[in-house]
Amino acid sequence: MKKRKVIDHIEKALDRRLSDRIKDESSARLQHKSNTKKVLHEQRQVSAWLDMVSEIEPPSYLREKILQAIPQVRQKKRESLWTRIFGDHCRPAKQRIAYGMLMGFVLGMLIATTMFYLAARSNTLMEYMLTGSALFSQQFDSIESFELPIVAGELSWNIDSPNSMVRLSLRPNQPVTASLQFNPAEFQVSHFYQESWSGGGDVMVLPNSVRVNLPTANRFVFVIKHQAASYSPMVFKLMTSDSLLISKSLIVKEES
Amino acid sequence: MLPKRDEDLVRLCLLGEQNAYTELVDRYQKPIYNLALRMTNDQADAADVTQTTFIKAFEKLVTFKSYHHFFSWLYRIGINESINCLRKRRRFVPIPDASVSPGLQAGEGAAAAETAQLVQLALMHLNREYRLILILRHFHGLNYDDIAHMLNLSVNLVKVRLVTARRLLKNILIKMGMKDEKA
Repeated sequence: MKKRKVIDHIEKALDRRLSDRIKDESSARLQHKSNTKKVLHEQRQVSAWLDMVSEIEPPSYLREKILQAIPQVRQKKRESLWTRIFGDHCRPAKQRIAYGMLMGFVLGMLIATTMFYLAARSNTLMEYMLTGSALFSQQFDSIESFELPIVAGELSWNIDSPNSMVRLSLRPNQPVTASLQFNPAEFQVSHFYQESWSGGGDVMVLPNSVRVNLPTANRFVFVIKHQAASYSPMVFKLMTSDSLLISKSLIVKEES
Repeated sequence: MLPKRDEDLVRLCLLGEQNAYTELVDRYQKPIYNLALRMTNDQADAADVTQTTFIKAFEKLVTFKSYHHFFSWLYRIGINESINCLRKRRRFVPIPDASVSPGLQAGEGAAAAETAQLVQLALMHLNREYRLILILRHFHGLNYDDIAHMLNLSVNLVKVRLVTARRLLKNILIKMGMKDEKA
């Protein structure tokens, strides 16, 4: 028999789980395998010794001790957040650190909120952001001008032209990236131009968007032709190198 | 009324029913105590381990997955606590506790008690893994599947370790003066 089978057989024999037929077969086989027989005897002997070890009753106080400890655990769990930081058992140094951190946090929040509101009052862009008012008209059937601290421009919807077009004109006073995303089934970039080509200006035209890195003080215009009866919103974004200034969803809609 | 299943008691306990946990303590206090006692061979340590096991189980009750047997989950905590207890006192030489097994009695009982005492002492000389597997199988009557699940072993490895553990235990017992009955 293979070792695993022998072990399996021994365990079954110890559990008295062998059927009579297997018992007869195995006893006949064991006659020739003295080693297996020896191991089985050894295992039986040790099992018998182990069976002599009886269960011990736990001390009577143990149950009460456990049950008394449970409500304390429950209480401790409920209070843990506060007591672990500020509880009486805390060392004074730890308490001072905790109070300091809490005060620091409250002061920090106060300063941040004040600065945010002050900045908002003095900054047009922030005001736009706070009030949620639209930078452009949701339905721009005429020229929409906008004036930001760092960029001036206008977005127009020329409905009367032979080929209706969306025209975006920008003149930034610091480097800025502008992008316009649209559904290519509805719009198509027609052309773009800038005041001075010597000023640079990195233009990337994709089927569904146009993205321009505009240098300072150079007027840039891109023109998008529409080619459908109804339009999905276009997404216009203005970014500096490290922050997003505007992200607007523009709905182009012909006036009835 | 039918006795509630462990999993039902756990659920009641999580709903804030205080008596539910008391019932679980009543059910498993003895096996956990005996597990700890056989592992540590010290009554005071066993009582401490039992208490810590139930407290930890209570704290972690929300993490208990109902598709596990509660008792095997609780045993696993008990095993870990027993091992922690043994680690803490590793530097100390274990002193056999005479009170672990019943004292000597007259006649046949005396021989059995003496054997039980010797077996407990011999167990303490066994490697922790082998001792644990013998305790779970012989003193707690757990089946191979439960032991395998509890110790994260395969069933075959459990069987192999059991055979090895018994052989090692026998060698220790023979050295301690136990009479070997030849086959």
